[in-house]
Amino acid sequence: MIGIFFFICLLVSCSSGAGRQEAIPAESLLRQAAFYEERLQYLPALAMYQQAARLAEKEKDSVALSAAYRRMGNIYRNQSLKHEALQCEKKALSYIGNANDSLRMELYREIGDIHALTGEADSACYYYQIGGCRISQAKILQQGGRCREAELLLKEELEQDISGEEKAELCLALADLKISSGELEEAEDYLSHVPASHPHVYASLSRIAESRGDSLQADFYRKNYSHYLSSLRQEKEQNQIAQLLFTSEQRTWENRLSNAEKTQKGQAFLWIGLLAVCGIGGWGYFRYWKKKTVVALSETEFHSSEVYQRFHRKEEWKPAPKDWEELLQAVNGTYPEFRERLKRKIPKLSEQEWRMCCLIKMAVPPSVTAMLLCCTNQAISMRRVRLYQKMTGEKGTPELCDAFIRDF
Amino acid sequence: MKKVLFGLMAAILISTGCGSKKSSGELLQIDLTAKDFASGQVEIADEIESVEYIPLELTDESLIANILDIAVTDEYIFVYSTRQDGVLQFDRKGHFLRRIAKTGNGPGETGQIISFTVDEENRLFCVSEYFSTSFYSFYGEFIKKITSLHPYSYQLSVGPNVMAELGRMYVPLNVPGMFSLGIFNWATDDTIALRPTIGNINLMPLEETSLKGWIYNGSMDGWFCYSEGTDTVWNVNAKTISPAFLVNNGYSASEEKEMRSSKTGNASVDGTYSVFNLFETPRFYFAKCFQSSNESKFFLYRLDKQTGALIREASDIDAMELFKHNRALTGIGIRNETDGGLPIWPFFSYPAKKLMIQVNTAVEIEYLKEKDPKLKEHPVLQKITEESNPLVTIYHLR
Repeated sequence: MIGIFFFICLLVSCSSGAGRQEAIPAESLLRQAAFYEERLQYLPALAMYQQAARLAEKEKDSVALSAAYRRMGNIYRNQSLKHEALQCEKKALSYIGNANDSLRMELYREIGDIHALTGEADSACYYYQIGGCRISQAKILQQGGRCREAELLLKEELEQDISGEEKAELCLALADLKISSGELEEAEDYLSHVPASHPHVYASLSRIAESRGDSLQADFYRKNYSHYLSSLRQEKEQNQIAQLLFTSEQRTWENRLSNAEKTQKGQAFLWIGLLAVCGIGGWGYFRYWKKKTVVALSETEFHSSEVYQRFHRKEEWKPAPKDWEELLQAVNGTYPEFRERLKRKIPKLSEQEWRMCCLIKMAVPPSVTAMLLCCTNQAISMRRVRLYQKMTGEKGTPELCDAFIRDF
Repeated sequence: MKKVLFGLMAAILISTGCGSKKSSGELLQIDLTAKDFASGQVEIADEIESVEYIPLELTDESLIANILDIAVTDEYIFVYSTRQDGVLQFDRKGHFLRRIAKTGNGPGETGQIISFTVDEENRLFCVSEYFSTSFYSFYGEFIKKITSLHPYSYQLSVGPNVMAELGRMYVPLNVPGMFSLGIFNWATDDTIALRPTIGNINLMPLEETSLKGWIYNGSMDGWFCYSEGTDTVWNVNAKTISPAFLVNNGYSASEEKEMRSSKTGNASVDGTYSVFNLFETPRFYFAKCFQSSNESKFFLYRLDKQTGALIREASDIDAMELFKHNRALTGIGIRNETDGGLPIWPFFSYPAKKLMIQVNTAVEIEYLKEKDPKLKEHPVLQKITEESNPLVTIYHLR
């Protein structure tokens, strides 16, 4: 009898243990689904979000529920399925508590976006209004020919007690409105309130120059705008990576610390040791990150420099020795020791090869490189292949050579 | 009785003589050099159930010159044209909606569009450039750009997140990473199938061999891909790359060598036939070819999948003249006996979806009207003037 009792106990404990192991929390499913969504694998992502929503509903986890529906709404939006997208966004809205105002506002904005994309101006306007998106609302009004209303709306918002950044965005929107209506001087006036470091200033300046028929100036501003955009994108990507690393490190530590508390106190020393090691690691990473940021900053300056622009020009011109000297100095300043390290790799680096390396490093297209070095496109390709072989000892392609020098 | 027997024997002789020879196992062959044919008129009317005409709306923004690429979904038509910045999106009734993938350096902007395709399952519009693919929603919203080092010329969607890639043209096949045909999952970066080389690779060293112009069109489960100068049309679907049928263009070994050499350009070889285009319907394979010695003269071929019977028809339209009006030479096509409209030759055929899409430029239609005055009476063609945008015709197959 006792034996049977023990056997039943063992069976129950085993099965419950197994059950615990198999149960996947909604949060994990959401993470997995987000992973698929990021890679645009919408079919498995949707299936997993639906599974997460079902689980969250069972667990009455309204946060997970609203997150699952919001993400599904985003996928349906990308799939241009308006009704499904709106349905999910509205469900997400219904599950968030009254407390989470910022999330509510974001959902209103997203619903407004969906209506705007499908050309439903009134609905879009309504949701932008309750979501507090004055600029988007004004754009919709402007598209509908209600420019005066849009202007009043933006001016009204400008008078509110808002941050400097928000003011800059409003001034930009007002400037764009004025450019569209041909009031260029007023547009310039609004732009003067926007910090010069704001990348979109260049886009507006380019539009003004274009409206005045100054295509050269417009082109100059447009190029500046593109450079700012790409450097901003790089910065954003770096921040995202740093944030991801930080969050995952933090999570790991939280788990470790909570486990440590549960285990014997004797292990505390071990944890402290580990903490110290990770601290040093973190400090090291911080230093590395800082160094990288400094490099990125100087790269940004270089990209907006006049010499950089000059060597990216597609028009026919031949650089004088003075131009080359100026460029080589700028490259040396931006990428310290680049030449020395390259020299170490290829001791017999010719002046022509060194010039080509600089042009590759600053992403000058091969056709422009050919023009600058006074040779054909084929010759440039061959030189890149030869250079790659000199550097790595392997046969490669021009693209491999470019990638190697850019990462060097 | 003798007459019956004689008739039977004659029928057997004709059917065996005119049918294309089956070689390489069970593969059918379109023999461009054949001398005898089952008939002198290529027909398609039995395959077509209905015809839908979609004149593309002409606005300041949607002015179309020559169409370089087109894709049609259940709801939209995407057009890439010469002298236009980005891809133009129309609804299925031909109303202009927006411009996608404009030229520029910003997010969602493109440098040089090579081709585009639609991932139907994920409902994504995919624009290919060399070494990158940008994804857009059908609302024109930019979603993501994925970079890839594959040396492809064209990317064609064959399933959710899966692309068939056609290797880079005119690049020696020994270049590292080079391939002829591949199937890749762009989301996971997995290689599903790969064919490093196609055609006869024993003609010359790989460093001298390259892929020449690609000809592709929809097949029953993916895409047909044919590289000029080779003898096999490949079928690429979501899982495999397999030979579909053969083409005998009459090249000798030395001509084939010249045709496939990476040292020669795009020149055709004298005295032989070259494939200009091909497509498939549920019952037939069709090919449009020209004799290399006379590029004005085109021939249409139809191969019956069941019987192997081959039919050839010589077109009476001068290709060189038509080329001025439409580079795709759509006007050289099969006689339209369904509604007496334009000659039939689809830009893309999707036999699995029972659809064929044809594009004729307005100037080409005007030219064809002059050649065949009956076309002037057609109710849709009557409304087309020289200033109109191209006319999209959709043939719904049985």
